[in-house]
Amino acid sequence: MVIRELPSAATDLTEGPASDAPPRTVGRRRLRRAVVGTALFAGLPAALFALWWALSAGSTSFFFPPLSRIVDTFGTTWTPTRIGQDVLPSLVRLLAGFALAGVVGIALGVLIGSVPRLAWALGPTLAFLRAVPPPLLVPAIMLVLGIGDGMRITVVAVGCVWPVLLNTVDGVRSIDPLARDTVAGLHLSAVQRLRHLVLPAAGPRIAAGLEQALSLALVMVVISEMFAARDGLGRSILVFSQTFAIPAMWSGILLLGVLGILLAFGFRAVQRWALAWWFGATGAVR
Amino acid sequence: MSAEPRPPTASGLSLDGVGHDYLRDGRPVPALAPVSLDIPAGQFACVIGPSGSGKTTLVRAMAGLLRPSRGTVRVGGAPVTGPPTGLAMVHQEYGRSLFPWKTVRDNVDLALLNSGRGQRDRRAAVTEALHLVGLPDVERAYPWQLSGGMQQRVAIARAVVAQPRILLMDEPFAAVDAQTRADLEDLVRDLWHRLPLTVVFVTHDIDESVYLGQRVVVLGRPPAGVRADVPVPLPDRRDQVTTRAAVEFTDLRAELYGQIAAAKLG
Repeated sequence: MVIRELPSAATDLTEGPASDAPPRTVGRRRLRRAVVGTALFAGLPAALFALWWALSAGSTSFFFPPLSRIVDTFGTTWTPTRIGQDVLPSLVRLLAGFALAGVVGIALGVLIGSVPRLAWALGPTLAFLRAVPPPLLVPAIMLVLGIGDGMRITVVAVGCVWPVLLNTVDGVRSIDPLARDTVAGLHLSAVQRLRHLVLPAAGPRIAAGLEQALSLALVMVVISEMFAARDGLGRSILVFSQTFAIPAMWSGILLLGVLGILLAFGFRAVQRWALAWWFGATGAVR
Repeated sequence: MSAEPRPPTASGLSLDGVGHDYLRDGRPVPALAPVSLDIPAGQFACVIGPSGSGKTTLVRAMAGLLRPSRGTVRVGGAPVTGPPTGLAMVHQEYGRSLFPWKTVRDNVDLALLNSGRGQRDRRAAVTEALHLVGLPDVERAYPWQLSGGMQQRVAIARAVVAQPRILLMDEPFAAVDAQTRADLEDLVRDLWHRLPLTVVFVTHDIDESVYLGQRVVVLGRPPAGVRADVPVPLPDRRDQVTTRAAVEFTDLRAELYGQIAAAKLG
């Protein structure tokens, strides 16, 4: 009887394909895989850091100080007060702009992806807007919105909306016609179709777009803070370089990198949770 | 199953000169020659035909998913202009018609979302439908954790949960192995006995059509429409071993093989 197959399917979910081997071997194999994985994962950054450390150790160049000095400066520069005053505002702007880009990009993307004529009509306009380098938009946006947080959040949103928009359009367009037939036969309303078919079906593509957008958002927030800012990570790094506080400037760049890593990891954790079905159904592992 | 009379609430289905052309490079290519058929309420009708005879086009027109170039489909007397209420469809490719982001329970519940019924009521109906198709313990699993045969059972549960009067099945068992297929065939016969259903079952398998149906309609490639429309002279109570060995079964099967061979020649 077919139903008997369920237990094996259910165990596969937790045990993985190697479940026919004795448990002890599996545990050991898994441990080894984890160790090797971590070594590969963290090894390259560590090696690069060590290389930088060694090559810069005897440096007397004013612009390329030894890494040891940069690390020393890091602790004295990025005090909790400074993090609260300069890093936190940047993060808030980044997340606000990213969220705005996400909402606008997904909404427009679903609309454009659902109406082929709209995609056709908007094609040239979108291609034009996309071709404008976002940093050039900062002065223009400043003229309209002034120099407050609204301007900076808008700069971030405008800069990182494209990957969300384009991936959403593709995701919506590539929804299986049979899935559309299925919901047509089930008499779902437009809102129900959006919620139960369109958004989840396009979800993996939307997530790919959001991931690209997040790394762009970090770039955009720093750029926006290089124009007429009173605080922010971008402004700090700019001021350090203009006042020849070179080790502090490098420590700011290091901090940017660390933030980038944390954001990417945070995003992946959310993605794994929200798209658990997709990772399960496709067996995709990253 | 005993030979009870069909409950009177099933709906009949009629086709009046339903034909369809596809446009290729701006020119119409005939996909389905005009077909006129009357399927009375409660009947189990099978449709067979060689590839290119327009079986899928026909069933999509019945389901209101395709507007035919010619003719009218009527469900319960009313002309079909879109997917009619009270009609459910099971597709061949269960893997594509079940949604991988939903559990088995939520996939079945999709058919009830717009029914106006409360959540508890719907939950009970879903559980009952899954029991009916022999899948009592998988509500929380995802479709991709199940075998192909079990997935098709979920799709059938979703089709019957809203108590349709007509069930359309488009080559539903073409993608499963022989044993699973036999089980699913008996399941469909069983559901038809227990529920007030008219069943239109499209298949390319002649044996399957004879085993399942009360009537077999043979489609030909355009310009031929219905090449043959024969009643199945088998008792209502059927089983995989004795029915398939019955003389009536083998005779009809031989006749239909001849019809299909002739249909392939054009």
